[in-house]
Amino acid sequence: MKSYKFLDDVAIADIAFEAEADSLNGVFIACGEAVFETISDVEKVDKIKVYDISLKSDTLEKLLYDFLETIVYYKDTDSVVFNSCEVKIEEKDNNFLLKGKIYGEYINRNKHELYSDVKAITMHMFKLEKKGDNYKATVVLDI
Amino acid sequence: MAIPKEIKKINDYVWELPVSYKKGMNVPARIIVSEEMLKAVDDGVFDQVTNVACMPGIQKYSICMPDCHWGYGMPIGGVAAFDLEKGVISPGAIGFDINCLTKDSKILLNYGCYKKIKNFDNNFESDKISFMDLNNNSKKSSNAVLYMKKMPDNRVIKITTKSGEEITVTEDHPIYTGKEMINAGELNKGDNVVVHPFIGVEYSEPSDKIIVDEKDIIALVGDRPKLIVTLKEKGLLPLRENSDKLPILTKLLGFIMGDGWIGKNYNKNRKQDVWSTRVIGSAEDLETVRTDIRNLGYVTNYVTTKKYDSIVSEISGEKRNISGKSTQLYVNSQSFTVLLKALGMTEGNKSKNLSFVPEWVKESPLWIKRLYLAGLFGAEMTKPCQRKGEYKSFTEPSFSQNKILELWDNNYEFITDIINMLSEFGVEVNNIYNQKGVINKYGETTGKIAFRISAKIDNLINLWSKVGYEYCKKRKELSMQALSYLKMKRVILKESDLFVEEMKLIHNEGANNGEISILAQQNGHSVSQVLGRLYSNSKSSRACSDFPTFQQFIEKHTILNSEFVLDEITDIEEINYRDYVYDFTMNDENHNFIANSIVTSNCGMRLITTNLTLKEVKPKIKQLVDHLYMTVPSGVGCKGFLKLNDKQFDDIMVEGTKWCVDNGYGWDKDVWRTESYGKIEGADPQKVSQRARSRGINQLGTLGSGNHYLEIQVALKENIFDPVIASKFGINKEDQVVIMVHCGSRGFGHQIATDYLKIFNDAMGKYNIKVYDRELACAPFKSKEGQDYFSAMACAANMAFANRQMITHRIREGFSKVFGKSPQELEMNLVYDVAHNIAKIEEHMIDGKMKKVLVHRKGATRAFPPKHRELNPEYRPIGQPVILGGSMETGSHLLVGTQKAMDETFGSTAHGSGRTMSRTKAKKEFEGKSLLDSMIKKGIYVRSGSMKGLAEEAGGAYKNINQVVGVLDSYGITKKVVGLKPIGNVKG
Repeated sequence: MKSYKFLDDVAIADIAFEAEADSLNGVFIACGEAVFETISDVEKVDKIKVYDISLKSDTLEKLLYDFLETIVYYKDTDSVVFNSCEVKIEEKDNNFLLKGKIYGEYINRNKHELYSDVKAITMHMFKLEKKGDNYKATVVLDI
Repeated sequence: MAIPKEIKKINDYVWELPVSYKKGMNVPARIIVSEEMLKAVDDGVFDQVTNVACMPGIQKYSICMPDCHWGYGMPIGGVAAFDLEKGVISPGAIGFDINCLTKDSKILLNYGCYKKIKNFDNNFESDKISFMDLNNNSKKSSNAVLYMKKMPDNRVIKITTKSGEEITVTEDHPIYTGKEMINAGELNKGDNVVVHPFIGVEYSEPSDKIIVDEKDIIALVGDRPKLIVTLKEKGLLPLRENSDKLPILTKLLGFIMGDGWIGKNYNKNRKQDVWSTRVIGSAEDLETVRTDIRNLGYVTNYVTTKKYDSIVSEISGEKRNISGKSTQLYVNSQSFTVLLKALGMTEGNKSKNLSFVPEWVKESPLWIKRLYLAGLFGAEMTKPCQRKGEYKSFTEPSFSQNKILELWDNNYEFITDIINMLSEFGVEVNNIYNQKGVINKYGETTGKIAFRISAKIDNLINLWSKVGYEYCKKRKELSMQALSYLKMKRVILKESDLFVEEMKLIHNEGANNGEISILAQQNGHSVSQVLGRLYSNSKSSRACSDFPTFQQFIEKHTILNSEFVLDEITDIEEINYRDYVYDFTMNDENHNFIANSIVTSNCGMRLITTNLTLKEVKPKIKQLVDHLYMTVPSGVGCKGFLKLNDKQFDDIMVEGTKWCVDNGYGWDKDVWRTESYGKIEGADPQKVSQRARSRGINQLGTLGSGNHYLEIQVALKENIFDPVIASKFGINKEDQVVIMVHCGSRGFGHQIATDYLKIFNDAMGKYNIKVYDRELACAPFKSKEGQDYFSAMACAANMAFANRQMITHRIREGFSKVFGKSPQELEMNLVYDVAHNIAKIEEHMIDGKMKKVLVHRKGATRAFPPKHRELNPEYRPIGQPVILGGSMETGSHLLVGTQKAMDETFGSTAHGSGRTMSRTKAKKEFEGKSLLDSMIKKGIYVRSGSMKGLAEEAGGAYKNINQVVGVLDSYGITKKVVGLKPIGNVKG
């Protein structure tokens, strides 16, 4: 189970969302998908370009921040939009390691429907927590 | 929405939340709105404006403008000023004619180290700053008090020379051109100017670690109370790393290790050893040694010049006769000699005894290591030499030491220690090699170990500009000339590399070899070299054939008997007179804070006039907007039309608008009419991550998305509120058409903010700072993190100025194309470019005193009043133009700054109309396509790459701009000048 929803009345100059999943990998993926969906219509993006990512952080929150920030970085540096991602998180020596893939495609204005340019992931209200059996994240994107 | 019950009405437009509202508030929070608007302020604002009030060092109030709304970290529409604390402002420490005003300017001190201006502290008077004595061309040093006072509003000129040196001086300051004294303001390109190419290494505070104490002396010579008392009286015992005499001792130790001798003889009468020192060198250099020894408090005994005639035995059995003159300085002071011994000087014949680079030198700050090496090299390093037939380059300088074969291991260790130290200066060594030595006078065979220093240009520049020679005037002077020569060569080679890169681009786009040859010829490059390199990736290593030989250079550039060198001016640029950067850099121990998140990217507005009227533009509006939509890239992932290399991008980060104008993308006046002249001082591209670079390098000249736009507007007659000022701003025609641009530094600035946000979040623990919102992560302004961010932020700000300038260029081209007239004929003048996301050091009245503070404006515009000295002379009598962007449906405003803004809001006002509805909600409420249709009905033609993005920006998602402007005008922090109605819009 994983899902995300955009929030109506939070950080009105920007875009806020909440993501929830029954696994850690799932909540990361849901957050990634929320960012992809903010940028463009993911249905119209093919999985042509693949980014192998490998990140390490001492907290899960920082790891999530780095993961989302990496998406924004690739968007601008390579001019790509995204379709989906895979994530696998492991804990090792008090650090959290993320290995994953991000799938996307170079922007084609005739093919893709572009929405909002995410400029940055903010730390405003940024949260990753365990609620019962589920993981829940709150993120505000700078638009 | 709930208005906090603690809120207090100050007057009709000011509402205050007291410090009791939230734990940790340092100042009250003030929201500037009408009573009606207060009811609509969203909850996030009350929380955020009071979070900011909790930040350390905040002054007076945390302020929110009438367009305020919930942002992240600081509310949008937020203004806050932070204390810089009173520190010394040193007019003198700028230096003499090597002064620079930017905070990272390197000021050469007398021990061959430099301090950045910003690092001078309360004790600046004790720093000896190097300067050129124009009477005799010698280098001297003095403390700052003796330096010229720099008036705050003097015109300052930056001069760039052929060798790439940059010198910043006041216009009335006389500069020695090698022939005469000329005021800097009267210099021209091509004129000579005198430079000192030595840089040295950055000063860092030595520790108070003891290097030699009484026990060490006793261990060497036994208990000799008189000797110990002498050392103590002269302040040499205990000798600490930060003793003020250590630098001189280090320099002497290095030199004497190379060309000196210490030793002892047993004196039967006194029944003790008698120690003495001898130093060998030229008479002139020994004078310098003598002066330094005197500065330690000792008397030198005498200098003798002896003829010598000795026979050197080669190992082969050959004998050579060596004769000449040797000048020696005798120092008979025992305590001086014993101190040298304690510091690590080899006693007796160096070829027979162990030599070490002292451990304390190896552990000392870099600038102290430099003194040791430069002393040693003054004695033992070869001078800059050229090989026969290679008159444009230098051979590898070398260093060697002889020791008897039994001490080969020790000799090798000494040599490798020297090499390791050199590597800390970025100086690479090519190889170590053994040579046959000679047979010493005791009949022992010696071996020589030597190393050669790589003769690559950058390596030699590092050697001679960071280490150099002490106590050897000739080599020092020659190395300075070589240095200046190499720097000039480096500039030429870089230019040639850049030119080849450009040619490669043109070549790929289809230019043929013939066309490229012509371009190469026109630009003074070697045709064969350029053509040859089109197909290879090699960097150029040879300068063009008309580049002078070193000998020719010397003939033209040498100043006799001086380590200063003549250079030629290649660029002169006026730097605006604001010296805030400089002033603050002299401050020390500031407990101030720069909050990262508050400032991102110098997002801002600019307004350009035309002499066209609504009647002329209306029929062509579709064509115009379509054209601009194509030529000014917008939306997700858009790339600019310029392909920049790293060097150009660096220049943009530092130069801002000026870079664009210099490269043909603007008019001189554009610089004049940009806040801070389109350039925030202190930008340091090195503080910008590779990640930010790669995000930003393709984005120059792009609008971006979100609320960024380019809008064609009309100043209808009924919307001109102040015709006099409107006319001064260039709006003087009925229904005149203008263009407004709103954008920032794109992904570049945001990546910088992201990078430092992470750094600050990790660093806050160290500085014991707690904030309510991690997005308000901050670091002390004076901390390394704070300063690094400030330098990086300046890069983002300059990139944003440049971005809006490039867009302006495209707009001018577009109008010119559509209307068949040049932009000049269309009078497409920039009214103003003003930032609204930025942190700046400014002077404000606080508790009855003028004080420098760091003003953060997040979604707030600077609004300086008439007579403010930061305004250009054109607008100084009127006040600063303020550009307020409304939603794309409701229109925008041009206003003017007032004294009231200075008094109440740190010279700030609103930046737009302010959202009332979240983007997510707006997308549900409005639909892109029907919005587009309804706008066309209202006479506004819009192009947007994203229908959803368009819906987010619907006028209905924003506050009523007239209400916002009404509050600003009635409260008086800015005055209305012109209201502007949109007729065409390219939405990012």
